Amino acid sequence: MSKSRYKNLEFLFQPRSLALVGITTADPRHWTRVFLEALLEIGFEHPIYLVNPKGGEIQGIKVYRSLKDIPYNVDYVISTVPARTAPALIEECAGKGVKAIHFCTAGFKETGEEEGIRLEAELVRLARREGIAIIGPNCMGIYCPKARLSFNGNFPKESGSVGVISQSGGNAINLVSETAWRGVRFSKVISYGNACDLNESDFLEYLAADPDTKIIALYIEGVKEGKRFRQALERAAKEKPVLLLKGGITQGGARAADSHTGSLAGNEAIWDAMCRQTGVIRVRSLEELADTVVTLVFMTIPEGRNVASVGLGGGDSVLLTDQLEGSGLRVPPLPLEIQNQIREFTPIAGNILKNPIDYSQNMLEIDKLSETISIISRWEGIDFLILFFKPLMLSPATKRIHRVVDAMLKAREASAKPLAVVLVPSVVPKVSREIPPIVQRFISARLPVYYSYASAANALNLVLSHNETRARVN
Amino acid sequence: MLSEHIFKQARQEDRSQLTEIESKELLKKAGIPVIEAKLATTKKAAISLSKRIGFPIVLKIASPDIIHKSDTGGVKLSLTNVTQIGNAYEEILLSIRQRFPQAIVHGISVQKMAPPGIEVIIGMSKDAQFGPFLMFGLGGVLVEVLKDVSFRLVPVTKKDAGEMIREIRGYSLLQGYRGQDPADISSLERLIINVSEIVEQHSQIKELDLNPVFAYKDSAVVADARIILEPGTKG
Repeated sequence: MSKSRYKNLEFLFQPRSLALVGITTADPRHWTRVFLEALLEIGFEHPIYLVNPKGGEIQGIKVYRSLKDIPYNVDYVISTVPARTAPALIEECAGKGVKAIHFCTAGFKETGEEEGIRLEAELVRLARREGIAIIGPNCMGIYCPKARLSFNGNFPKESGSVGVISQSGGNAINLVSETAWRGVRFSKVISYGNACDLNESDFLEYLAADPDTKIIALYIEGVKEGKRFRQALERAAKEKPVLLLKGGITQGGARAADSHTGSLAGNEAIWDAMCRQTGVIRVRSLEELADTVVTLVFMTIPEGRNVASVGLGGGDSVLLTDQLEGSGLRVPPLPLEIQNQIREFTPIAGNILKNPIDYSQNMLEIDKLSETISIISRWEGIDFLILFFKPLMLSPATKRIHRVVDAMLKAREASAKPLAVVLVPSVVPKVSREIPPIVQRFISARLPVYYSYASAANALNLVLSHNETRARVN
Repeated sequence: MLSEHIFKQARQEDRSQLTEIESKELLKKAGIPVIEAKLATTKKAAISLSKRIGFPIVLKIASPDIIHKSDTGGVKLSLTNVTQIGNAYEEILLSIRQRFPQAIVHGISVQKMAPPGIEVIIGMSKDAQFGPFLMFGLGGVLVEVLKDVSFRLVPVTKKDAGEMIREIRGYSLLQGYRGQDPADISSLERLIINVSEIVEQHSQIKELDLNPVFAYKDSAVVADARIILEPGTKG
């Protein structure tokens, strides 16, 4: 079984200088500018050198004609040069102290063409000769807020607990952007593409040992070293929760993966078996990955599967309950004595107080909702609570929408057990623009927010199942 | 390695498939319960072996060239006396000679007819990236039509084996459906773990197929077995 050629990948996450080679001087909107924009936005604290054979300057920063012209050592190179000139860049790096090169450009093994395959092999040969590590090619590289490294100007500047290893750059951007808006922050995000040198196992072994990373999310199309990867998964999952989204599980998907990152996608049943054996949480879509990450970050894992749901709407109560019980959660009826305690101060009648609870009549009475949540959360028959509402139901009264949020946030304080929020968005323009500020209010209160009944039920079930399996093993 | 001579024999004969007798010998040496098969090269030997083993008896063609034995008249079940043994011996050889005149025939394997149990299958194959893996499923139509099977990568732990068995949709059939005896799950678990160990120890095994395995209320036994070796294997 091969081991990493590097004892530690720490050097990737603390460069003291950086060169952007291949950045376009002419067109400010050109894609090669994204790295400079992202690094300036996040505030990389060490020298950034720009290199383009044409020379000149960009935003007041001098552009060197060659890496060799830079009068200082360069730790880390981000290359956007065309594939055919990539090997020459490695030779240029000789003697400059370069520890790693991130090759962003495509046009290598993933093309399936002889020339691309040859160029990629040439990169590996030269990099090993020079003792330089390669990330990529065909990827977005590293986002590490602590090191002030980024590949997207919209990523959060603050650090967090989630580490991401994504073969695809696009999927990394999607996952980070979507979950960042739901309050998630990241330790290290690595988009690694064709993995000609550093591969998924190198990064997984690193994040498993990284104290800044508490949760690991993986998007993988295919692996380079199957047995090492399995072992790395097993070790990582012993340390922290590991989530895996495997891309290319259908025949067409596998073909797409082959042309995307040149990966052999492998057998669906085998991947499933491996996740079960290693204790990895397997998810089936980017949305499910996001929902599960949000759950792990914000939810104190409930001790069991019994849930009380309180929110707006009778029909919604029914549909939410169907999703919850359909995912193996339980929505037990509240005992009469609990119902009676709540009836003392609310006029809620009969069946709607059993669980699920349609609180429509009283949702605007903030103190009553808090008192109700307090009583229910202290009942031993439930392990956690779900608050649900569709702002559409209250539209067009924006004020009422926010008053429901006020009530729910106050109720959070009153709850003795973990709490999750399902906030169903809408494309109705008047409602849709209200959604982002509401989400932000829930996030400020450190609540997990889901966008549909199905996704909440599914993510909670995945995390509970994972915990139950771990409890059995230990 | 105890089973070295089996691999050596196959290699010398330039075969990539072990016979049922060889496969079972290998399994037995690894501690797996099998319905032992003995080779008879004459009718007389088949009869005397049958008497020693005890009736009812099963006779099967022993040929490395014939994979689907029962589809080709190569298997005779429930033989209860020496006359039946004699007739079955000749019928099998005749049928095989007619259908596969080129086949190499080692002889006829003689084995005890196992009492009926719940049929399960245990298989092994190799994944290009992750190496050997095991498959478990119920025998017969359930595996063929419904693909009701579970998989785990080698090495398979006790926990994995237990999950493999419980994961299939037909698990309730193993728990004693409609008054049938339940299958002994721990015997099946042991069998799966044992197969995993064999596969780990013998990288030259390319595929393995225990089909059927009979599961009883207190044991499990391999009724038929097939092992295929890696091409050009060094034994």
